Amino acid sequence: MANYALIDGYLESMRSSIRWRRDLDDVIAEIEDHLISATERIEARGANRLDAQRRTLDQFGDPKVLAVAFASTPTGGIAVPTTFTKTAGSFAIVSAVAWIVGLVAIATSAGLPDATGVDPDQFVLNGQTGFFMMATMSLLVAGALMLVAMLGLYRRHGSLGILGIGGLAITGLGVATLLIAWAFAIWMTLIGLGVLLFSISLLRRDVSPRLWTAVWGSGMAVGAISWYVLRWLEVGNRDQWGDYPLAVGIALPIGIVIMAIGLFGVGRWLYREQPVDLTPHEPLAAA
Amino acid sequence: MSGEALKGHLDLLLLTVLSDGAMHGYAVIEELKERSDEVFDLPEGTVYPALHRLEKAGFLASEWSVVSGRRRRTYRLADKGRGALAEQRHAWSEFSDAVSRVLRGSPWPTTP
Repeated sequence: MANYALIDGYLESMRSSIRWRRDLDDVIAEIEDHLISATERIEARGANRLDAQRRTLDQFGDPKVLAVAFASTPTGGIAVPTTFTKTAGSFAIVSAVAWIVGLVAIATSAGLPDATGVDPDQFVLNGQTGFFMMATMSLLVAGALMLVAMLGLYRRHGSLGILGIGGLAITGLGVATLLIAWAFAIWMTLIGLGVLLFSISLLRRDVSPRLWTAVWGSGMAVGAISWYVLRWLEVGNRDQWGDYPLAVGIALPIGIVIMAIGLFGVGRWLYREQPVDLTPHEPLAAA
Repeated sequence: MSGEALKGHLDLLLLTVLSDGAMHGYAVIEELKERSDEVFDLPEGTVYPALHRLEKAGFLASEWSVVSGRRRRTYRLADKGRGALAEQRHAWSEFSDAVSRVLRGSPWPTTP
């Protein structure tokens, strides 16, 4: 539309303001048709094209104001960024950092018995070091923040169906088992499965960045599967609890690091979106 | 009339305009202005969310065509919308009659 420079610019601004709409191309096409039709009509009355465009755009309204109006339209599975989803994005970022802190704390506490000569049995059972407590707390905080982030993602996508709800519930169960921080297999499996299901539901809606969502969704699942495979292969020595520390030592960092990277990316996307204040207005049917 | 004053009645007005036949968004807005003698003046863009909302509620249906190389969406009144329009027209008529009666009525006699 080389002859409609002002309208082109306006449409770009409009596209940016309502980029969260799944039917974005249709809405923009409809607005474009309106703006050009109106401009042509004003031109037919004698105005030049530039003036006609200015008058048309003035009558159509401010893109930012219209974005609010479009946000109140529950059409086509609209997914709207809000203050809550933005906050959830910041929670996701903090959660990603907390997962890494927890991992480092686990690694440090796991190394302490060897370094200090403490009986590993007593060390683990009583949780006697600050690092062990720090690991547990970090993982719990990370898990809780990730759940809030998932609620934000749920809202951001409008609805995620039974797959999303199931994923959220299983992840919640997994986060609860983080209270038993050393029960790696249980919480890795639950969180891995929950986040995987949840991320699949996100990918099906195609709103969140696909790469970060896929990385986040697959991270802990890959870690859990790695643990099962390494354990089946009986990698390393078997400890007094019948576990294979080397398998945990490999699988846990894989799961947490990949998941945290993806979660950070998804959280950054969620945080950077401009929130749209909602002004719900029901149609006649609801009146 | 300001956008705020019009907002509460916009759905009824849009359904009424479309009861005369299918129209695209710009034509609906122009028709609305013409019928109201330019009294209804609101940011034109705000009409589209209302049209989408009415379509989502099942009162309107839309279809796409290509006109002058541009994609154009045309709305028409659906059966559900026709029923809702009749109901709302009746409700509006009752309401406006009642308001008119109140406005025309004599003031309550005051005691001397």
